[in-house]
Amino acid sequence: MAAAFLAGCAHQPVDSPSPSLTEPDKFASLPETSELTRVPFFPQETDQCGPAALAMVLTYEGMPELPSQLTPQVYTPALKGSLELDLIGAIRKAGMIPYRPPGHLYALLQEVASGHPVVLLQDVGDWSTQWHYAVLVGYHLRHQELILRSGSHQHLVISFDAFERSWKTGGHWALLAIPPEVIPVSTDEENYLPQLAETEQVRPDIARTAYLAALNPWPHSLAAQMGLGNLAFANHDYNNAALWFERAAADHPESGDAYNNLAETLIKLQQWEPARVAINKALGLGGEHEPIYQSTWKEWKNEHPGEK
Amino acid sequence: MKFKLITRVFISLALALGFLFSTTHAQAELVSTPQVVAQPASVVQDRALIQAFVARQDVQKQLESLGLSHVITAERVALLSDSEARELARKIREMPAGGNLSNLSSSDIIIILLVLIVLILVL
Repeated sequence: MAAAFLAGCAHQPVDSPSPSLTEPDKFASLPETSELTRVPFFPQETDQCGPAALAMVLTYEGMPELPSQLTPQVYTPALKGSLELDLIGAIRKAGMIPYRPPGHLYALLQEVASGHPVVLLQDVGDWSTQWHYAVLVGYHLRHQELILRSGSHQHLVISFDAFERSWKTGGHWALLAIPPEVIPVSTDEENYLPQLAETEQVRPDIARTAYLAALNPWPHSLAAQMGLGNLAFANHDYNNAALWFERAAADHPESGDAYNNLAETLIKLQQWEPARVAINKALGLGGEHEPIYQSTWKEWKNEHPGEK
Repeated sequence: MKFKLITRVFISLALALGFLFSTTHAQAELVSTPQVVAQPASVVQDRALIQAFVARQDVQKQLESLGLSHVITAERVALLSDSEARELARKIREMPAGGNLSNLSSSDIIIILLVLIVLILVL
């Protein structure tokens, strides 16, 4: 849980490969080898592995950036490094979804094989902790090797084992910049939608595209439907908001949240009777957000013209 | 003492939040999407803590001495999601106790104490 919180940069020790057994059946579904040769290489200047790694990934994903353009956003001079959360914020600023994949090698290889380079946090210190960001661009299953863009190395080959040792200290931290219309292959609904929900607040425009994309693999996703409803509501587009919340309530009749938000929207539309029905459904279901349902009910009572 | 601090926190919060988050208007009776995907509800307090911290003059001065202008800081804060803000707020609260710095060298700890007290919450 206590992932490393900041990272400077250091030279990558080149480790000799030492083969290991890594759940062969799972890995068998991957291509034997894969390399994203067109990921650009920006050699890092002093302490600038964060901006360099981010620029390589964003540029490859279609948002050309130079490390120097990203430095003010992600580099903290006194730390001689970049904070992880600033990398996440910069990806949002570039109009992409910051996606944290599951912390195991298989997920990383899946992403590379599907065409997405991965920013990695490694501890590359010999004696003490030395944080470093690198970009995973390829792998070779039989050789048990990864190919990184790292520091001044455009094509650094490192064994699975050596990588695992350097990766675990920081809590298996990895980050991708995912175009909002793409759903990462290494994720599932429970893992991805909460990550999207966090981007909704900061970048509603790209969150909308991403929620719509999420409805392809997961047409009944409560979070995607609620997110689209909430975005429409925030735009005062109450008709569309009502449609999304109705759909959420129909797909998830156990969700008080869906009924509550539907009720709130119907109040805005002054559809008093359907609003009353919806809020009573929410109150009947109860749950963690019942105080919100209560205040929706209060609002209905205050605004409903026929109520004394 | 505590009350005074809390009052100050809220005054700074009102100013800072009103400015920074004027676009994410409060939707009092709506369940937000992060709430739908099961996030606890103390986020407002966490953001308040961070914003109050940023708004303090001494903090701003230190941030500038660390190479972070007020503009950059404000922008970074605005790009944090709720749960990231919560993580930062948690770090701030933990900080005085020393916390989980065990795998860092002593010079790192000095920088990081500075950072955690002043910077990290503020970024």
